[in-house]
Amino acid sequence: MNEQPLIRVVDLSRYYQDGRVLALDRVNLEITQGEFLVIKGPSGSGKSTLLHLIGGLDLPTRGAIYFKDKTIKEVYRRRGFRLNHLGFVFQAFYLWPMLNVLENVLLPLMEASLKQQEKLQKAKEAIGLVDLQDKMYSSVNNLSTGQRQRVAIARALVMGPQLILADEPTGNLDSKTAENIMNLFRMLNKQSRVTIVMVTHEEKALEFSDRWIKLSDGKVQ
Amino acid sequence: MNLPALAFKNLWHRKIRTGLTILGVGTSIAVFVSLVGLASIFTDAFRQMYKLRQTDLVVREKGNFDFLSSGIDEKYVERIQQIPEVLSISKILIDFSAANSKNYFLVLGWEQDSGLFSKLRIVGRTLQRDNEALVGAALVKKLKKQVGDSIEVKGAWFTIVGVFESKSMFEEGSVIIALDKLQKIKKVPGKVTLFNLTIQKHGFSAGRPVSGKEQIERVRSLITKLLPDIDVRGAEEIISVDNSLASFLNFAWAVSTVAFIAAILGIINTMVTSVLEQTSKLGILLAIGWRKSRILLLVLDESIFLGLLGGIFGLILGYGIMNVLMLSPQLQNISRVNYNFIFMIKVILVSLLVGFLSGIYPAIRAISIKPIEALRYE
Repeated sequence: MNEQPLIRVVDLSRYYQDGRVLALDRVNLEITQGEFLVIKGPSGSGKSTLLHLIGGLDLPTRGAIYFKDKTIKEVYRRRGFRLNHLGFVFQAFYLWPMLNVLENVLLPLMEASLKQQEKLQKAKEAIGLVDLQDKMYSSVNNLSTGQRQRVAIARALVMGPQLILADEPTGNLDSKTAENIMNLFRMLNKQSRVTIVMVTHEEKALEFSDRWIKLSDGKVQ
Repeated sequence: MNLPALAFKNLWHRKIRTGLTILGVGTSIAVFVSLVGLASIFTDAFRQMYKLRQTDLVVREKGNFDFLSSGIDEKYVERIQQIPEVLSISKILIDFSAANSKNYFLVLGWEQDSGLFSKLRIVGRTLQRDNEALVGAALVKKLKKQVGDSIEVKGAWFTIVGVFESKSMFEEGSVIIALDKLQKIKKVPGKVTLFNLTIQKHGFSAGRPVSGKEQIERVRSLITKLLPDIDVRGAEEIISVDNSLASFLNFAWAVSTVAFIAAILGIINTMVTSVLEQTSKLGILLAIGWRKSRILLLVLDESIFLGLLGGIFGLILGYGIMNVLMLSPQLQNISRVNYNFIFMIKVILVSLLVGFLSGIYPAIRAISIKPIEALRYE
């Protein structure tokens, strides 16, 4: 791929416990716009740490991450940047159980300065993308695990992000449901040109990606 | 969906905890409503009584603000009558009497030609002999008496010659007998509890017209100079310095303050537990780009809702308690529950404030959550 990198990771290191635990060791990585990258590795290899650092949820001990030509420290300081440019999907879904599907997807839009009608329209479109139109007003408690993850994906998509960061999104799903979710990610990546960075330890996920890297003991292999 | 709707749904999701918190806050608010409400009932009853009697000034014993035990010499009337602006003076002696082992009523000693009788609507006739009594309509109903029956007042028997209605609930629950008779029974000859003065409102001072307020103040000052050993106050002032009322109000506020602190601690406990339980859910909101100020408002909205719902429940419970209390023999003839809209609004505002104050600490805790730690929490 010859496109300009969307994300550039330069000599990134992350220590924990006052420098006693090294989670990432001088990682260098480029992720291009529209790419579907899988980061694989065993538990404790540092893959979730890398994802959290890219998402600005954690700060590096050394090195830098660039979003296009600006460091993420600079861009994440901008109000609404994470809201408008990033989407997160986690293994545990983190849905609000007292809300229905539509309301969960509306959560990011509560920060957006749009009219209520536009917010509803966007949320319904996102729900349509994950094929849950018929469950729009169902409580998320009444959904299967696969459907819940679809709701989480719709929530990540609703603001039209450039980048989706997925942390073990199929970790709680059976193999058939996991495959459906991977197909959904692939379809979104191809249709919407959204960049996807997915952390997983499942080999099957590699089939759906454009590229994969392996992390071991905090280093790219 | 907006922030208050999300806060409400969040509370609704934890029905039992929310319900128990509302119950706790409501009980605290009910304590405040019933105690301060009762105090205000008494104050209003006094105010109404003074208004009915067209009281401008009340003359009482100096240094004794408890009307039951205060006593002044009735001969002072002659001195006060020398002031031309004083239109009328009514001597009043006040006491309580037991109707039976449970019931008490107010006994008022009035002169047989007192102008105060003109403020009453009497069925029957006024007092002519010292063994006659007028009984208030509320009391007569309670004691199941009628004109012609006898009534015992502090061990002496009186014939009921009239039943009266008054705009003052205090008076309607009382028995009026001749002043000198009550002085004999109470063993305070020549003494009265107070003089009720009505003042000529319009007049001139130093050649210029004076307002009613200035006139009353002028007469008050004249009486004080004339009789330095007595106490002269306006009706409003006398209500505010009344020892029994002031003590009850202080007690009401002290208990209410403790109740409010308990309510605040109750909400803080509920909200801190809620924030801790929702760490990961609040964390995801931060991760997807919610501003901290919005999280702060979400938690504050929840605690304000708890305060508001507690306030509404407390108002209902408090007025319920007041109604039950007013059924007691000691209170039933004094006044009735006054559904004061302004007081209710104040209670709701206080409840909102309790909710807001209680939400501050949990809200600060919520915004100090780091998304990365929150996501690891579950």
